[in-house]
Order: sequence, then structure tokens, then C-alpha cells
Amino acid sequence: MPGLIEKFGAYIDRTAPEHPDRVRRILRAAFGVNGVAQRTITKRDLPPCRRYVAAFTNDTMLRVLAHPDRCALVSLMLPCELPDAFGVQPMCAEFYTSYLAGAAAEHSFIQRAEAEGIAETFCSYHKALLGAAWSGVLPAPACIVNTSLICDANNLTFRALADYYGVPQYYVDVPPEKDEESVTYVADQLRELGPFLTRCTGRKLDEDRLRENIARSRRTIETFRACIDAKRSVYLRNDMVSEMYEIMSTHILLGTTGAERYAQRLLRDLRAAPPTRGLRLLWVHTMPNWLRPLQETFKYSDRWQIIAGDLNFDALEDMDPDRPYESMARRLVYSSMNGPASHRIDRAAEMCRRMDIDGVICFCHWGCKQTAGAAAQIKSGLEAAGYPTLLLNGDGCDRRNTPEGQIMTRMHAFLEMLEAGK
Amino acid sequence: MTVYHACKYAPVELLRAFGVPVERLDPTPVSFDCADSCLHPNLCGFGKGVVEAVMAQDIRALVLTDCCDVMRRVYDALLESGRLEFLWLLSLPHKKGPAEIRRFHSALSRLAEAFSAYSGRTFDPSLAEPDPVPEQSDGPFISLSGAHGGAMLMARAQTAIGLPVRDDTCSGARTIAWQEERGTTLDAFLDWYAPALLGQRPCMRMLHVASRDLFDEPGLRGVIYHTLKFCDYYGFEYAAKKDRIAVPLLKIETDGTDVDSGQLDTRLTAFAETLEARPRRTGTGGGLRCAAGVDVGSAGTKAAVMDSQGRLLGYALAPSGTGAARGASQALEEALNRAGLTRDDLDAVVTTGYGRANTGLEASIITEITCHARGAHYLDPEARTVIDIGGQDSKVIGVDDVGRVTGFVMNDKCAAGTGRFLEMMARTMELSMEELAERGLHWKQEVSISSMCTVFAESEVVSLLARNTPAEDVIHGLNRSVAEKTAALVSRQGGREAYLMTGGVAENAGVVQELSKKLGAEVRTDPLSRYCGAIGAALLALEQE
Repeated sequence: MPGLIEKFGAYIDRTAPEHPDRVRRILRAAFGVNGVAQRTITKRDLPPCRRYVAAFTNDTMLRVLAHPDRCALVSLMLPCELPDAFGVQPMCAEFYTSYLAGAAAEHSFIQRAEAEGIAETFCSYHKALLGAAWSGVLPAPACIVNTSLICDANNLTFRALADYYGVPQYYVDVPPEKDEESVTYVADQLRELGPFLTRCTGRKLDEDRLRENIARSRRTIETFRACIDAKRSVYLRNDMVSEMYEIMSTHILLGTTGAERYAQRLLRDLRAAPPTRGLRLLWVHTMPNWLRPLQETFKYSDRWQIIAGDLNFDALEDMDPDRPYESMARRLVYSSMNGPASHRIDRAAEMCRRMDIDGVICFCHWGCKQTAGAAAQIKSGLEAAGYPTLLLNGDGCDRRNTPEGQIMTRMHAFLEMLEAGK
Repeated sequence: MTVYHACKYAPVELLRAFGVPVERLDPTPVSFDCADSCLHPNLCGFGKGVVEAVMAQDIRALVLTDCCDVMRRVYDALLESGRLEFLWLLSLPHKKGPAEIRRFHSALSRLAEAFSAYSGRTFDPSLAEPDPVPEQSDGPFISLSGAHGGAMLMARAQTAIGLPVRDDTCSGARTIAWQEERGTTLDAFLDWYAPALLGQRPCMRMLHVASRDLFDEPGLRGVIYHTLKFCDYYGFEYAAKKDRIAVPLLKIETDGTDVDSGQLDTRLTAFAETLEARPRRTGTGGGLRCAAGVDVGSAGTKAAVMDSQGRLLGYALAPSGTGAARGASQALEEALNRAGLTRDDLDAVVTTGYGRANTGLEASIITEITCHARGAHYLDPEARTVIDIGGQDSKVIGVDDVGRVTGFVMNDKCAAGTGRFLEMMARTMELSMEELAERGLHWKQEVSISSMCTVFAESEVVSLLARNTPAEDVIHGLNRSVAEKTAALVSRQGGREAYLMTGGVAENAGVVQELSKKLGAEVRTDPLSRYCGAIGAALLALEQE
């Protein structure tokens, strides 16, 4: 449906400043239509696991948008087994704005944030979130909970939103040292999150549910680990959006039955998949999955395929249902996104080996100093390990910062180079 | 052996207790060649400056804090470079409760142990001298706040303002509650030192920033708020507090280098003029007969000659390309000719604009901010917001009911949204500026030019034309892009009606229409808007003693 999404985005741009309530309803309806379209048209040629993760993630977003006032607005890295054990649904900030970008509806919100004085160089996912809030399109949540991972934007956006909405904020500080002292420090903060959630929502902790959630997270993580090895020699149809959907299952939705089912179906589909074909690529960081020529390049392609994104294997840590807080803390502390860039590079190189990757694309999302600052090291580190790496500058959310022609020239030249060398 | 640091949370006193000098690293890079290659261009100039300094100077020991994403990556890059004998990244909690203090105590202890092993020195608390407390006077002062500005920005501010300037930026203003009883062991020292260091007036990366009560102090006469390109922390504080600060406020943005010193000085001097603004002399009792204003812009030099009854006697435009002195002289002679006067008839001359200091004329110098405000008031006394889109920059100036500046913002180091942007696009489309303005009014379909960057926008235009998109629709897209950028600037200034647009782009009706739509209000123009700065300069010349 070329052009339709852009027309929809232009309508949202025009309408949001004057009619935020209308825009909120329209966006929700559009996400509903997206869910129906995914089930019937747009995803039908994908394998069952990928159809499932799209529908499951979309349904979750719709459920959250139905009652945002009962949700906790959370950052991507927050372990949500705990809020779930209080019956509090998480609304993932980054995913909300990814949806806006997917609907080409981010522009007016980003502009609104910039007009308030937020730097043009600030992460556009966060700018769109701030703009949606300040425009009145994103209603107040019950509370805000975020971690310091994985970037500085977390320190700014959530505090500003808590001030704006007048709702309580809970902040989980994750130190860069990967040791047991750090795990204890973070686990203690997560313990304190419980009473905070009770104060904000009046709900009590269901300890059995927390234990079940952690047990489910453990099984899901084990299945995702098995998927990594199962990917090594097979071809499973993919598109860019599926990798983005998977991020929800490896983070915010980890511990839910939906995420576990997705992991199981992914493993089943991988085990039944035909032998590998074409180039095998690893994507580092977020994706401009709405960029049509890029979508077309990778959609269902058996010539070149994105095998995995590094945001999906940053924290596949061991979980122990008897030590729920330490387990969740360990995922944060030992995440490859935490600490020096070398940890992220080492993890990516290990995954390249396990999945037999031909080349790596590192997407330097505009405004993300965390990744852009490490880009030169990522390239030199991975190339030293034998994996040619393309640094691609663009924006995962803001079309204004994503020069289509430049990106596609670089991307195709890189793919041609890899093909020539294979 | 000197140990360097780059953050106010660096444990300067702890390191001094090992008997070594400790200095703040204050880089003044002229380029970022090393940093751009080992990091990425899209990082703040301070972080990149630290890399450049280490590469260029004889620095052997450096203690960084993990205060932000950029410093973490700077640490990574420097570690990989292997240039430093001792490099440490101190883990800094975001909160300052008991658990965080325990962690910080432990982090400082690890640093002390590592430094002792490296230097072969032992900890002696009697050597842990605090920084000298800066002299506090009860008199008026200016606060330089926001992101790191360093000695370079402090010196420029001091020179321009003429009042004491206090360094309240993130790397300045260490405020440690010093304790004379220091303890005899490292543990005892850290028991009080860790909370004292962490308990300083917080920088913006800390979670709780309510105690950053920087803008309510007696004696504060103005705030220069500095943000660094690609440092996001302080834009948030600026956004939250810009409307609540009672004293005059100037927002400036730099990239951490000195390359834009001309533009920076213009802003600082205009701010100083705002601080000093006093009621003007009125009437004709000054004995002056006539005066001239010369506005040396990036593309054209404009001159205006006025008499003491406020009559515009003559005005003229000359290209600036041949040099500020020649352009100024040519425009002034032409304006005098039209007024039927000679230079001997002039009692005063004020020069303004980018080339204001290089005209060779015997003249006073006033920034174009002050001159535009005064000129806009002359052209339209109801104007309260002047939107000036010139060749080199765009600015939005708040004006009061007598033509004084109430505040201003300018775009930063980017052609997008300026006259230069439209010029480049006109060149791409092989049109004159007049043709661009005319054809942009006849658009049929909305076309979006989404790139913020002029270079990328140019390639977007080329792609659209290659797809046979009518030129009129493309021009309309460009006009909208300029209008959006300008409207954001108006919003940052807190613009209010009536809006008066000046500068060369005011003659492009398509941009004016789009801006009017964006602001939801009429945007006025004046046939003389191009001469606004020169007229203001002439009026200010008439008011001089």
C-alpha cells in the first residue's frame, strides 16, 4: 500500500496539534487495523512463528492503549516479570514510538518536542514520546518505571514525563561493573519497586505469579538460546519488522506466555526449515524498518537475510525462580549493552560464530551516543574477528534524518561486496 | 606526574592525597580529526575534545567518570589507543541514597588502590587539599550555566559582558562540603568524602535535580545558558526553566570549538546590550541632524540615512562579496547620494551585521540583534516578534513597545532554514531567487522535503525532479521546510503577535504564507524589511550622545 501510510502520517501531523483526543482514538484504531491486516494480508507469507509474534505484539500494544492510565510507562530494559506479578501492564516507551514511526506519524510529535527546546540531536524515539505526551495524545500512565540502561535518554525523558504528568517515577540505577555487588545493588532496588507499585496502583504482589513469571522467563531464554544455534544452517523467511517485534519478547514481554509461545514456535519453525541460502547478516542496534527500499531489500529475500539483531541476545542470562530479584538484576547487569563497548562487540562476535554470519550492519541511530560512539570499535573489532561490517548512519524513528538514497547505495554496495567475496 | 580529570565529580582531593597535582582537562580543539575517526562525528565536542587533548598533549594519567554515554565511549576509545599509562573510569551512581553512597565509597576505594599501585605512592589524607573557594562578592554577576563551556567560553563571556561571570556549567562549580577532620585511614576519609563528593549541587545526569537552584540568587543579573551540540542533558533544563527565569536569559550553543567565535561574540555582545538597555533619548533636542546605519550582512550590505525627526532620507544596497569595507562604503555613498547629503553631513554612524567591525568607517558598533529590534519598531510599532531570515542565519527577536530587545534566539551553525538553504536549492533547480519565490506560489500538490540537512535536502530535491515532480510543488515543499524550522525557533523564543518578518527571505511570499499557517497568525512584512537592521542602526546612531 505505497503512499497510504504516508497520507495517514500527514493527517496525524495536521490533526494532532488541535485534536489530540481524536488522534489518540485514530491511532488506536489504526493499530487495530494493522493487527487484522497482519493476520490476513501483510504477514501471510511469513512462517507461523513470525506471524504469531507480530499478532501477539500488536495485540499487547492495543490492550495497553485501551487503558494507559492503568499501565506503568517503562523503558525497554526494565524486567517486567515484577510489574506483571502486580497485575500492572507495562507500556514500552520505545515501542510506542516505533509504532508511531511505522505509521509515519512521528513528525509532528518530534517537532513539538524540538519546539519546546529539546535538542535536535536527542534520540528521536524519545523525542516522539515527549512530543506525543506534550501534545496530549499519550495520556498519563499510573506511574513511570525506568532503568538507566541502555542510554542517557532514559535519564531525561522519563523524569520530564513524570514532572509533566505529575505521576511518580521509579528509577533503577544499573552500574557498569559486572559483578555480584552490582547484582545485589540492582536486586535491592527491584525489591523496593514492589512497595512503589503498591503505592501507585493499590495492588499487591502475587508471589506465586512472580515465581511463575521467572520460571517462564528461564524456559523462554533457554529456548531462545537453542534458536541461536538452530539458526546456524537454515533459511527461515524473514522481514525486518519481525526482528523488531522479537525485541519485545526478549525484554518487556519476557516472562509472559506469549513470549514463551513465540520462542517455542520459532524453534519449531527453525528445526523444520530448509538449508541456508544467500548472505547471512547480523544487524547491530535498532532498525529503520519503515524505510520502504530497505524493507523491500530484505523482505522474504533468499539472496540476503537478516539472521538476528543484537538487541535480541543482549541478556539471555540464567534465571532462578527461587531468587527472582537477583535473576532480574543479573539480566540488567550482565547485559552486553551495559559496561564497555568491548562486551557488546564480544557478544556480537560470539553470535556471528554461532550463527555463521557473513557480514554485520551496525546502524548508528541519530542521537544514540551509546552506539555511535562505539561504532568505530564495533567495526574494527568485528572485522578483526573476520566479519565485514558496514556502519550505516540514519535514524530509526525520524524520517528527516534518514537519507534514503545514501543508505541504499551503501547497503547495496556492501551486499555486492559480500557476495563477491563469498 | 599530573593527573587530569574532566568532571566535577572526579575525586580531585582523593588523588591529591597521593601527593600529585590534579588538573581539570579543558580542551580547546580546532578540529576533531582523531575523535571523528576513533569515535563518531555525532558526539559532543567536549568528549571529542578530551580525545584530541590526550592525542596531542603529554597526558599520562586521566580519571574519567561514567557521567554520560559520550564519556563512556571516550574511555573505550582511549583505552584502545593505549596512549595513557593510567586511565580510570569511575562509576558514578545516579542517586545519592545510602546504597549509592556505599557503592561510591567502594568505587573510590578501588580507584585509590589502583592509583597507588600505578604511582607507587601511598595515601596521606593531610595532602588532600580542597579546591580554593572562589571569591564570592555580593555584587551583580552573570551565571554561565548548562553544559561544559571551559575557559574559552568563560573568557569570551567576561570580555563581552563586563560583569563577573560565574562558572555554573557541568564541569565547573564544584561544591564539596569540606571536612577538616579528614580521618587517618582511606576508609575513614572516604566515609565522609564519598557522600560529600556525591552530594554536590547535582548536574543534570543525576536523578534528583530539584536542588539545582541556580537562578534565584541575589546579585544574579543574567544567565548565559550554554548547550553543546550532541549533549542532550541541558536542553531539558533549558526547556523546563526558560520561562521561569526572572533575569535576562541568553541561550547559546557551541560545538566545543572556537571556530564560530564571530557568531558567538555577536550573541554575547547583544546580550550585554540587553542588560545595559536604558530608556532612549527622544525628540530632537540632541542637536543631531542626521545619522547613518550600515548593516554588513553575509550577502548584501545595506545602508540607511535618517534625520533626527525619524525620517528615512536615503537607503541603498551593495553586494558584500567584495569585502566589508568596500561594500559598506559603496552602500553608504549611494544612500547619501539619494538623501542629497555627504559624509560631512553625518553626525554619527553605527555599523552592524557580521562585518560590522571591519567596515573601516568611523563608527560605533552595535549588534544586528539590537539594531533589528529598533528598526522593526520603526517599520511596525505593533511588532512584538521579529523573524529575520538572513543569508547566513535566522533569528527571532522579542521586542517591547519602544523597540528594545526582550530576548532572542538564533539558529546554530546550520544552513537549513536560512536564506542560504533556499539559495542552494534555487541553484540546484537552476532558478533565480525571484523565480523561486514566484513559482512557489503556484503549487498544486503537497510534497514533503523531510531532510533536516541542507546537503541531504538537495539530494531529495534532485530525486523529486528526476521523478518529474513539478518544480512548483518542490518549491512549496522547500518553503514549508523553512517555515517549520522557523516556527520552531519562534516557539523557542516564546514569540507573540504581531509578527514582523525581515531579511531577504521576507520577500519570498511562499515562505511568508507557510510561516503564517504554521504560526496560526498573520506574518507581516514591509517593503523596507531588507533595510530593517540599517534603519535600526541609524536610529541608534541618532540617540548616541
